[in-house]
Amino acid sequence: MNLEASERRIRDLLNQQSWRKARDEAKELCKIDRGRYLPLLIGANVGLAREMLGKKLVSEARQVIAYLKTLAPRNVWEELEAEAAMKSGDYSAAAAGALRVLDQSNAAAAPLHRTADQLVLAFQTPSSSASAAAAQAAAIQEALEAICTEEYERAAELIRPIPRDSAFRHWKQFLKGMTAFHRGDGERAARFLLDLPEDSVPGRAALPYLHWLGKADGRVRFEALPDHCREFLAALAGAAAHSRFLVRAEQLWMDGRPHEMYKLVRNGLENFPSESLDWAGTLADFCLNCLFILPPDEHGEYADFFYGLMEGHPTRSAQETKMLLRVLCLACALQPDSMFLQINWEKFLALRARIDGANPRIDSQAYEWLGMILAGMQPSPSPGFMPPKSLPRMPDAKGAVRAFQKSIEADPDNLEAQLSLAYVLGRLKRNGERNRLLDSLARRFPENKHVLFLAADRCVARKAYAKGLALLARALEQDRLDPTIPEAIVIARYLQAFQLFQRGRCADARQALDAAEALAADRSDDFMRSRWSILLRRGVLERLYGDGTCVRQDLAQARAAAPSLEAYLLTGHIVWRRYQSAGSGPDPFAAEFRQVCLSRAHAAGAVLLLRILDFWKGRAHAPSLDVASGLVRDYLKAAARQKCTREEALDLIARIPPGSAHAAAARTFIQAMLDKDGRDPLFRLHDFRYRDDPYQPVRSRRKKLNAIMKEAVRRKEDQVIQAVRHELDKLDQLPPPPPFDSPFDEFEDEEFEPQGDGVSGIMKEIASTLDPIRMRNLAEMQEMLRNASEQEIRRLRKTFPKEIPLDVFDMLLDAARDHGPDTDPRPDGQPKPRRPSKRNTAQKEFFDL
Amino acid sequence: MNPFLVLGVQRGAGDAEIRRAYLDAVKQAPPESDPERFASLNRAYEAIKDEKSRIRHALFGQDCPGNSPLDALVRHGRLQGPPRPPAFEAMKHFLRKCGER
Repeated sequence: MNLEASERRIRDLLNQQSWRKARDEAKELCKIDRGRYLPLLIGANVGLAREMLGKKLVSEARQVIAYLKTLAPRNVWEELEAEAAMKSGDYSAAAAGALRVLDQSNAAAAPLHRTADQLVLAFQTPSSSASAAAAQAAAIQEALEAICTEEYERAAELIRPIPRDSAFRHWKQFLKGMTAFHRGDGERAARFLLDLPEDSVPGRAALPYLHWLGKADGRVRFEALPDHCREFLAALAGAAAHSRFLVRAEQLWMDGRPHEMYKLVRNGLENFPSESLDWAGTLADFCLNCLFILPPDEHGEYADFFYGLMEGHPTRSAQETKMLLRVLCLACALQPDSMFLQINWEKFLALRARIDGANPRIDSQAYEWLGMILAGMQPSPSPGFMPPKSLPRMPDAKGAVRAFQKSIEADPDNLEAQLSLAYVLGRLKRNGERNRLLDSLARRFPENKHVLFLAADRCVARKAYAKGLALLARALEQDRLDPTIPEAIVIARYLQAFQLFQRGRCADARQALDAAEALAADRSDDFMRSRWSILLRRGVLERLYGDGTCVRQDLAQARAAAPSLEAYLLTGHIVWRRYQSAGSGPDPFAAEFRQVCLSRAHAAGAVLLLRILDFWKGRAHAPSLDVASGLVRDYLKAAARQKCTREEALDLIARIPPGSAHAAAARTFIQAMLDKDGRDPLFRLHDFRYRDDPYQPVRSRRKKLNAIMKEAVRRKEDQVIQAVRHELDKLDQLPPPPPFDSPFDEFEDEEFEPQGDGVSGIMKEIASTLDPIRMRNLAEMQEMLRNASEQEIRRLRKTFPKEIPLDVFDMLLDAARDHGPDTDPRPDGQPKPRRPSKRNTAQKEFFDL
Repeated sequence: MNPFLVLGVQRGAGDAEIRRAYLDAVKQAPPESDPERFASLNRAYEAIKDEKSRIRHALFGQDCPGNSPLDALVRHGRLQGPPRPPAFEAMKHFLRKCGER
């Protein structure tokens, strides 16, 4: 037998806390050399006894202790014996035993603390003992009692004599922490309590205090607190008498059984659910409002439980019905069920009036809320695709109108309800009712800018310009700094002047334009209120409808004051189209634009034109912008042929979103910049954005982005790094693209695995199945496609052998391009210009549709 | 948490009383020394500062006072100031439970 190996194994077993095995093996060794191996046997038995005591197997532990008495010195088993006495509830024996251990000076430090804990927890000190340990334990116990009766000074006096190196020092610290806690000094309390060793009794007793103070970071989490700590917390919160059932409620909540928690609390509290401001009220608040913090599946179950509680069984009180109805209706608002909401919300209001007394203002707000929900005027958290800029769906427009009317009836001063009603009437095209409502609001709230503005807007919409302008003037009096009001006045004046010119009342029309000019803005890039813009409109209107005497002067002034000739001519063209009639003749502005501007096009001018176009897009009275857009497109094409700076190109690209009508021009500018510096990460990123193809494999798109990122990091361009990161994140969130009917479907079996990224991988796989001659032909074909111009590709596509589908041709083309400039930059850093793939282009258009 | 509890006012309190309670509380917890409490006081005041807000809170309030029933009670208790110590017998029972490994 190898004794050393056996000894090592026993030590390993002791470390693994396999006490029984260690004990059995140590027994065998002791038979060989008792003197040497006895400590191992004692260690195993001590461990076993402690484990049994921990599991409350006191009688079994006592057997082990009895055996230990035959082996170990007194100080080893006496401490265990005291612990066993403690566990069996024999506190006097525990105290006596613990005191005997403490009186021995040769005990190790850790067991000494454990024994000190036992002596304190016995809460019985032998009166005959005159030892220091007995005195200190008695002081701790008395101080605890003093703190419980709020005699904090006395407690401090009692623990003062306990020395720093005492076995009771943790208790002293704990008592100081408790005193500070109950005196409201949280910081001081936390300082004392956090210093306690976590495995000591005071350290464990400090947990509820630390959680109360919110300073238990790194300790046992709130959810994992043992039941006695939870009970203690409930007692601290003032619910000592109910602490048991509160602990049970907590456990049910933790187990994901909120409805059982509700039932338990409901049965456990007499006045549940109460709206009082005591802990019972807070608990009722929790039991009801926790519906809104539950995850979706549990939310539905809990709501169903509430519903069942109301429908199936009689509720405990009208108060409970009222509170349940409120919560259910609020929850229903997330996905409105019109009928349910209307019926139950009214029930709730009726009950509320019965219990708390009638209050028309509450009714008014309640009906206003109902109206808003039924009109879809609150953001819906339910998932689903909502096209941008579209109006929200109205779950029940007529119900919303009724609710708003009830709200106004309950409180005629509820302005929000009336404005909301006006909005819904507008959505329902009940314009007459809406106009009457707004007119009455303007009379009722003569100093409310918002009301005046809305009423004016409707007047202008129905061509009641004089009335609208009067309302706008009153709105302007209310707030002279709001720029939207003068702009609205200027627009109304333009419309009024146009109407008057059409009716032949030129003098009145000129007066209207003069009034607009009085509100002219200084900034030339204000395309509505700038002086040149007003003069331009005046000139066009005079030319189309006036006597034409002052046309030349107005237009000359406008031309001189405009930020550029291009801006003047483009705006002139749009204004002409806005005001022209059947016999107006050809548009002089567009003609001049084509003649003059295209030859002097430049990037900065293009930016201004794009701004003008953006300004007119979506305007209520804007004419068709097809021709204007064409003019700008021609201008952009011409500008792309001219040199521009990096900043100008960036400014321009920023105004043209990918996929928009002018995206091709933006790509030209990007290419021009890449021709200057093929590795510029910013323009490579723009290139990626404008050419990104959703049908390309994500891996190859990510590869391109990673290459850009590498260069951006090398150049330390932080903004580009962030933008690339954003693009990469978007790629991560992408759903898989829609299936593409590939002619290579036969390869989509489990055994087929492409050898590389996407198309190129598939092509490699195909190539591997061909004989050497065909393989060479395929390689030549790819090489030819790689070097072919756009025109050649078009020709090849037409003349490609009919037995090979065009999709195969496109795939060959894509495979050739997979080795293109983005993935394989040329050594001089100048990428080869890319050609858009025809297949991809066609798919994009289809996708856009 | 219930704004009435945060500000320490009764449900029937008027605008002036609520404002006074808010200002007193802010004096005791200025933003530079206790930003968290200050933020919660602000939120509470905004929720009940006038009749309209109070009606809105009563009708549409969805705030859950805690993450669990006990957490709600503890948060409620924190607003009441330092808690009173438990009875000595309850303390003894609790400490003995802590002594059980």
